[in-house]
Amino acid sequence: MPTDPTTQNPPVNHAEIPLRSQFADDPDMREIVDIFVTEMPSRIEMLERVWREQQTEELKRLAHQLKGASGGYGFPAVGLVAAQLEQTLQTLGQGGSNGPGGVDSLRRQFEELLSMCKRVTG
Amino acid sequence: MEPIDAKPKLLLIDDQEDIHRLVTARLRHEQVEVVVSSSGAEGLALAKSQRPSAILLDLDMPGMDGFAVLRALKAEPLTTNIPVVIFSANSEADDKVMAFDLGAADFVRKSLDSSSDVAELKARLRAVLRLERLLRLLADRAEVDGLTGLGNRVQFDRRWKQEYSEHVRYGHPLTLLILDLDHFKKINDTYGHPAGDEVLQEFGRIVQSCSRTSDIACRFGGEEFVMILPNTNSQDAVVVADRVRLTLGKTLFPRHPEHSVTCSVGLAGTPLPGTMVSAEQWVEAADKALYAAKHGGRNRVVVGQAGPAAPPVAKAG
Repeated sequence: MPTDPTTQNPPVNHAEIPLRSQFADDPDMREIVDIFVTEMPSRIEMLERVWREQQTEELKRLAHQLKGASGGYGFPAVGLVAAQLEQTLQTLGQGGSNGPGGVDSLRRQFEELLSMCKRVTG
Repeated sequence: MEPIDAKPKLLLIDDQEDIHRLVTARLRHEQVEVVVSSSGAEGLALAKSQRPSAILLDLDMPGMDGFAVLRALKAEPLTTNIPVVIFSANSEADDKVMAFDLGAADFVRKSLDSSSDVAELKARLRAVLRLERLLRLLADRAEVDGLTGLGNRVQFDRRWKQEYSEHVRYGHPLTLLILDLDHFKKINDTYGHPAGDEVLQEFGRIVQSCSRTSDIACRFGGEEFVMILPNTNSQDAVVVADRVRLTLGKTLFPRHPEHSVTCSVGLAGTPLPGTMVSAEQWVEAADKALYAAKHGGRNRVVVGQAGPAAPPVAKAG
């Protein structure tokens, strides 16, 4: 039976879907996942500030940390995006041949990371 | 001596606090106490002071990196035998080769993302800790006298060297006692070896009960025992020696209630100021005092004096 389009769910803004930890229900992990979620706003603030001030080394370090930790807290998607950002920073830093396209990639990935981080929830 | 059953310590050296939290949470139900450090330099100091049973070491750290820490751990006698498990996000072949060449016990990829990652980390740490525990048990057993449970000659040699060095470095008082059962051969010959063994065991118990936790009591061999009393001068050591002697004298041995057992004790305390005495000369001085006790009639304590030109031996109660 063909579905009636008027009864289908309205389009979803993916940027607003909350991200829950894969380990949210694990009693051993609950406490530290909460800490990670609570600290997230200040991490976001740091990312934004570092971006504004164009501190590429610091940005790389923050991305590296998120890459290493997010998966452990149950947010592998955040880790993946952080890894991409770190890689791009690494390539550009080594005088990568991305040119203006490279900087655009960087901005896009940075914003994607920010957006993911803002979705992190307990 | 550290109890063998205390929860082993795992020292985690990683610059990221997230990793400290994640590892601690994941190992909560493992029989291990996680101690964390944020830097190589701090980690090295903690390894020396805390003597963990194993170290989980990150490679990528600012300042002193993992390889530098690993080198330093292996170069330091206090930490060289602590197994080191490298914990690295990078598992490049070159890094692994380097790590193993430098003496790492294992190399685990740094990830706690999946249950298999966590299971692998736990399994590898368990293996390393188990091996360490068994080695420690073996070493301890090699230093223990089977009959009395006191330290054996091997332990005495090691501990005397240690206490002597401490004394030389810091100048705290130190006294060495050598205790020898009187006419022990006669007890064996008259009442049999099991009787002799019981006397040795009981004497071991008496010596233990007269020792403080900081004292080291060993069976030197045969019917000879030693007590190392750190932070103790001769006068106080005489009190300990007499307590042992009198307790033994009052002890009733069921196999030969009519025959009590006595011991002779020779002791040597801190050498006179300005004299240089080697560890061996110190033992000799206590031995000379013991000889004097034996030849002076037995069942007594004699105070010797370590020194190159030792004055005549003084007698004590």
